[in-house]
Amino acid sequence: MSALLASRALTVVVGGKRVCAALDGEVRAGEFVAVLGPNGAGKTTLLHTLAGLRAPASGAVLLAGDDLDTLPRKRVAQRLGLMMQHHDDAFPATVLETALIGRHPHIGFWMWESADDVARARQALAAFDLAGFEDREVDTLSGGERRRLAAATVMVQDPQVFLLDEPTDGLDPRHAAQSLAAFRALADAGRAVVVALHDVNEASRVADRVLLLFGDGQTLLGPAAEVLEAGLLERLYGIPLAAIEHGGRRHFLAR
Amino acid sequence: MAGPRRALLVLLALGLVAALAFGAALGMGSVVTPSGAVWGALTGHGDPLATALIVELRLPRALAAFAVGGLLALAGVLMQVLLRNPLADPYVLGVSGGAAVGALASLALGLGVLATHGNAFLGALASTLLVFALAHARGGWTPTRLLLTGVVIAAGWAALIGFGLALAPDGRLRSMLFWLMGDLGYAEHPRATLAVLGLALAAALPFARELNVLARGAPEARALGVAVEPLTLAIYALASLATAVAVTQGGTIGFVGLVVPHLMRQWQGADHRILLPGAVLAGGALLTAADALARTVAAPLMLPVGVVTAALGVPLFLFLLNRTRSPV
Repeated sequence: MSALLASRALTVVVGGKRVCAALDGEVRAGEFVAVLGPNGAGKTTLLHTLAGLRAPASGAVLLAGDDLDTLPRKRVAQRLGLMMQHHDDAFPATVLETALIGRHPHIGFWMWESADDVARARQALAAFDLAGFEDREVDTLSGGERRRLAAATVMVQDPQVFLLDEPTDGLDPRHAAQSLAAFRALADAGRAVVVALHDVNEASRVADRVLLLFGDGQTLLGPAAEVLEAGLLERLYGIPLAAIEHGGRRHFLAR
Repeated sequence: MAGPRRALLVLLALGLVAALAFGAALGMGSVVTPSGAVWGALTGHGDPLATALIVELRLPRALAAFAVGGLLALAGVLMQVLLRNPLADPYVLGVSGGAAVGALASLALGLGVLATHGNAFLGALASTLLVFALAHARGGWTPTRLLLTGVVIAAGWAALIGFGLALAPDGRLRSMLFWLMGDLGYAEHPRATLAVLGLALAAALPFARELNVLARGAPEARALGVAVEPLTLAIYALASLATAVAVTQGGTIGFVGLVVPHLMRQWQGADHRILLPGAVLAGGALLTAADALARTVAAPLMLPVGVVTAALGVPLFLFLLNRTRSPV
């Protein structure tokens, strides 16, 4: 099967600093790729470049074979969803209204949301443990609840490719696991998922492949089992790490 | 949950309120006309003197009040999304300052109504373009940058206005001050203003759902498939035009563009499919009623309508702000 999302000789620069140089990568249907790197390595910048929100220094991003630059934004949004790290709730809105925003690229110019759209939104809210929150004002949610609402919103968008920026940030362990499992299930159902994470152990739990951003333009993309090893991760984060095998999985602890 | 049915109900209710405000505006003034006589005048069966008063004086004035109020509320909603700030109002980007400089210069020089209108309109557009060009100069086009540029330019206009007032001959100061406080006595083209309001609303409505997305921030809107740059430019142009027309007709009338969108949001939420037409109806109704009061409370003296909107707006706004827990 061909790649849903691919980068061709992609060089991304932010604030004069290289995030990646001539990166060739592909994400296929059914794959879950984790992006790891220290703070400021450019995980968010890379995701925004892959989503077409900022232009790369050079190279191209291909969405199902089409150059992202040549596609109308609405077509892109039908096939690619981005869950951002921050939310700007300047105006009042309910939880259900916010989740329904995800349907925007699928609804015609003059149309209102259909009963089917509302059903999808309620289903997505339930998937992130937000059933019963529909009529709550967004500004009354806790940080973790707001993150789960953002996850539900991108699920409602129903794209082929999910780009998620630290979706577990601020979530308690149960909801973090639940969120990752929900997106893992979407990958298993044939979507492609790319997730920036700051927790190595979360990556080790769900990712098929891992992209390391070293912060100096060097990158490494490979199968999780090969990339997630103590030596590489020590180089990545600059601290000594211990790897512990438990339950058939590798866990990492700061020494 | 907002849907087309609720939108219709809300708009019907607001339409009724607007009709009541209109009825009051036709009946009120230095002479209070009973409702039967108002109806008679409108249908052409009334006493000729009352008919002349109502059809030739009060009706154009009420239409102008409705149109200006609607334009200000519409511009307020649009500016607030554009700047992603519920505190923005139609004048925040210096539009009224530019218009005031144009109008006051004309008044100080003793030019006629037409020149005053024309120069107010030109001043508003010049200010809009100036703010846009300065805010856009280095490529960064953020709400904060736009807001700061607008505030600074507005301060510059305020200085020019003070300069103009200081130099103006005494006999013309009164009309200049009235203009500054908002006065519908200058509104000369109620039907044209109403047409502008209709066109502006018709132009904005198809983009209502895109505005809902844009309200969540430009990056998120782009990620959800909105062409952010053309949309922002269009909103900016439309809001500026609506404000320029409103200021030209009614001077700088405060509070309508700030209070009405805010009240609509508290009542019905921030869905622009309801907010845009709802704010137009509510803003129109509010200014129509306020102008009726301005003509009546101190009759035969007419107050500047801006005094009434502020007198109504300030306590109402503070009361509602304190009643709700939500910060916006």
